[in-house]
Amino acid sequence: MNVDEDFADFVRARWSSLYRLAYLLAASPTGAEDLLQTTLEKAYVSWHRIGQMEYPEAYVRRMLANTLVSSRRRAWHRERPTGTLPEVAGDSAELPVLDRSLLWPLVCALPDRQRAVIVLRYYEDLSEAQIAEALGCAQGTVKSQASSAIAALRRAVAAAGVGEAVDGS
Amino acid sequence: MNLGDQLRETLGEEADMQYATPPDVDRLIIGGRQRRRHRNLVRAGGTALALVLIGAGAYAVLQTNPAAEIPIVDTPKAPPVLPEDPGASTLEPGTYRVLVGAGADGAAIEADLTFEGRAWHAGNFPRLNEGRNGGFGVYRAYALAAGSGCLGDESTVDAATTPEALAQQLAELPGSTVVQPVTSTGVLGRDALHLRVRIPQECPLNEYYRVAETPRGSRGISFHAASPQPTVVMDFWVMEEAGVPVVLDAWYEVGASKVLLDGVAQATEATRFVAP
Repeated sequence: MNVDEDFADFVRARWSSLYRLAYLLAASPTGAEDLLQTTLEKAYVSWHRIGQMEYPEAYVRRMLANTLVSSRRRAWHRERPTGTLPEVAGDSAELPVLDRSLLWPLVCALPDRQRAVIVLRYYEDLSEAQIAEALGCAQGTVKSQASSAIAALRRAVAAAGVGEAVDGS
Repeated sequence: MNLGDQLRETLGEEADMQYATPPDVDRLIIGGRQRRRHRNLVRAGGTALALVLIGAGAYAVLQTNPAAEIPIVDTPKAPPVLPEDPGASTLEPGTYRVLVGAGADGAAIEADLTFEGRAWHAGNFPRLNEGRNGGFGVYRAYALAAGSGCLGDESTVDAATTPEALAQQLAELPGSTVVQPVTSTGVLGRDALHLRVRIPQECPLNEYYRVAETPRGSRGISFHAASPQPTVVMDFWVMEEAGVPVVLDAWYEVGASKVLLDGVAQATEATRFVAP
């Protein structure tokens, strides 16, 4: 089987799964299509290598997140990584059960990089080290992004009148 | 339930609700190939540029005030790469980026092309269909038609390396008649050499007249199943870009409507080279 056939088979088999991740990362259907197309074109360029991997899909899924944030790379580099923040402040505190229709728009409203960290952590179940590797940044940066995202979500939930009684520490 | 658990549940449910339309795998592969060609060109240019930058960088380090802040400027998002679907699929109106070729320093020359209306068809060189066909293209030619001019002939001649010599070669395309001789003019804000030719396409069935070979493949102008194909009128502007001759062409089949001619002219004039 040549490279083109192998790539085509992979795309057809994994398209739906990749699209779902792209949708969560891009937070819109059209953004997801653009992101997925760009990522797969990049993957095609290196398919002779990616196709030989034991889990090519895992690699392409990380490429999706990296492609999303790479357009903002300069801004990303301006952020100062830190290793002293708590392990994602407040994500273990109890909240009233939220409706998906409330929480998803709040995730969509996060900046791209914060949303990427949240999606990779809670949808892809990646560790901080794996997220840092996927996004090409320091682990401390992942921590600070996750912390900021969680704090923003908690504030938004509270502002929506659902989680005022929750201890956000 | 904590926020982490709720995020897991919400993201999972949201993802499961999404339905993806089937992929256009051919388009992805074409886009990937274009990206690879672009990367290879940039790498070739990068090798040459690296030597210059090392020297310039060393000078800058000596001259720059280390306390000065370098402003960070957001660059606008580049238009999508032109899909090279070889079929007859309709091209969505909008602006697309294409590879023109390599400049004298090896770096990629790119241009943005803008298409309006829904009668443009995708391809390495898009075609406007309004009963008759027409189109335009911008490219660095590395070979021109020779022999019969038909693709099956497989004979080409190397493209000249100066605008003057290249314009003269275009005036001698196989089977063509010069309608307007080579004259100096201006196009896209640049000095250029212009000529107009008529090309009666007398290629066998299932072949096409190939004007030039370019980094985006053959520049063909035949789009009918019948033989002979309609005669084509073709304008060429040859200009210098990044130290190499670049061709802008615009063509139409004899008998084309004013709508088609206006559409081709409008798109041709909207061509913009991308600043390096």
